[in-house]
Amino acid sequence: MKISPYMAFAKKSFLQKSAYRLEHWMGILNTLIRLVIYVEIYRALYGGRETVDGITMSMVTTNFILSLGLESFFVVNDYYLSSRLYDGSIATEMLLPVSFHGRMLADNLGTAAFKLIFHFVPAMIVACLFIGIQAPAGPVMFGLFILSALLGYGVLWSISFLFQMFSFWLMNVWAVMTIKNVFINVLSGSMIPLWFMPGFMRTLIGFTPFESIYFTPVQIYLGKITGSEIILGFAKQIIWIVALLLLGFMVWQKGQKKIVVQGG
Amino acid sequence: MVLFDHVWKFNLLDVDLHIPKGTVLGVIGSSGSGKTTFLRLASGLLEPYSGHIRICGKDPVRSRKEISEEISVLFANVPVYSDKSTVMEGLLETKSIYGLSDEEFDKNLEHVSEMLSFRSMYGSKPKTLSLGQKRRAELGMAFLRNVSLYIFDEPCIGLDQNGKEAFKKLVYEKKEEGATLLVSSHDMEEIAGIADRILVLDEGKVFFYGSVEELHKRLIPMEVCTVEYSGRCPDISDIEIEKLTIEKNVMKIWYNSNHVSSGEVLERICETTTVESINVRRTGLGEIIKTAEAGRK
Repeated sequence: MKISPYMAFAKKSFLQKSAYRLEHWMGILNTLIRLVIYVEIYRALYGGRETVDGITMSMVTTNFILSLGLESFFVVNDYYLSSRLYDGSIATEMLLPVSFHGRMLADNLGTAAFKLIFHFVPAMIVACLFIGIQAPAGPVMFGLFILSALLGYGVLWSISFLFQMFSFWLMNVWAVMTIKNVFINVLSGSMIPLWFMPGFMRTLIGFTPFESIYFTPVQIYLGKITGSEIILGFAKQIIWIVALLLLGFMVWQKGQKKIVVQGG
Repeated sequence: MVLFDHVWKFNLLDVDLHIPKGTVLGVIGSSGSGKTTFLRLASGLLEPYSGHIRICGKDPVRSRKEISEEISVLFANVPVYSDKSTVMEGLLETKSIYGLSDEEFDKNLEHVSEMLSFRSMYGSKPKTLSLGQKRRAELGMAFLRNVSLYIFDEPCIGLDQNGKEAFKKLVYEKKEEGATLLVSSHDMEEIAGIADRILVLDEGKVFFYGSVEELHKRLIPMEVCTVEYSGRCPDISDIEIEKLTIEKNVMKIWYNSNHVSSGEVLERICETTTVESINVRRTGLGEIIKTAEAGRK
């Protein structure tokens, strides 16, 4: 596989993102506003107590800062395939000697790199200075957190990839994507820290890919899971990525067949 | 180069033909006759229900990625530039996808942009361009690479006369370089001007496949001779003609070139009168198709 075209796709999407300055500043503002709202809601719920069910307010704040921070640059374009099917440019894409999925990933990663530098970093600096974040459980845990965050992005991207395949059979995938995003927001811990979920819900969520996106990296950062639990966390992330991609590719083959057999 | 072996797909019925390397094939037919389906099959975007297609000996669907390096396509209503990118960004993306060297890219771009006059559009986004400007930029993208097969579906939509001439010149150049070109159009005269072979599709069936010469000979070998004379009215009573009109000093004669040659007609006219001017015209391709279709129906 030639690497240079994919680097060019990523570079192009990085540069394109830099053209939309107002959108960029609004994005940072959006992250900070959501962060303040979530933190203030939990501060009110805590009612001045330092700990609830063994979870400190500082852990909750750190969860929100990390989850929303990661979310700010975990970019997936849910409409990449559907827009190409809609305007017919999928035909042009299919005739290119590069992988469609590789192109989609490179495009997303280019935007993610831009957001990491110009959205995540400034938002984190403001959040750390004015809200405060707990230090990582140690340098090793911080390294593992970064690794787990990368895998978390892989899980998020794979979910989007699979859901995008609905585009082959649906005229509009907005509803499907909205449902998917609600599940991700609620079950990944970025809106409600999963420590506060009832026991059966925690167990249930454990069987879904959602907690692998943000909650697993946050748990590692805070040292809430150690040793074999971390290995299990990584294993779950890898298994979900592989399973979702395999399923996605199977559906992709069916969708592609639909195009060449039925013409779209 | 391109082989259709008893291919059935949608409204295309049993298309069986071979297009040799270096041919410019004009695909014509009325709306819904199967022109786009034919070209999509040739590019590997559609798979036949039955029959086989081979491009350079390969199945275009199964070897799509492989043959994509060897073909360049431009379909009507399929965007080739992203709305978010400028024309130059799109061209540079093509350079990177196909691994064109700086030298090849610069040389080819210089040439096609000169021919199609789209250099001034490099910094523009496609949505800000007019239909004709966009088409020039799209043709520039299609001709940017040197490949062995070019596929164009209605390439001249929106183009002005200069644009059409530039397209024709580029087609000739590519043919000279040994490439095969498949071009569909509603404009039959436009196709007749560039194609070595013509494929006429009618309701999905191959109505005709062969050279323009053969098409004239086989379908309607009609010629029209217009003579302006100053002497007495020419006497051509012993020549087999189809139709004759005389208006003032202008005589118009329709005859079948399979039965009578232009030479015979001209000789007879010159023998019997003083000729001021003379013009011999073949029946237009569009007229031929229309007449043939009408005759069949």
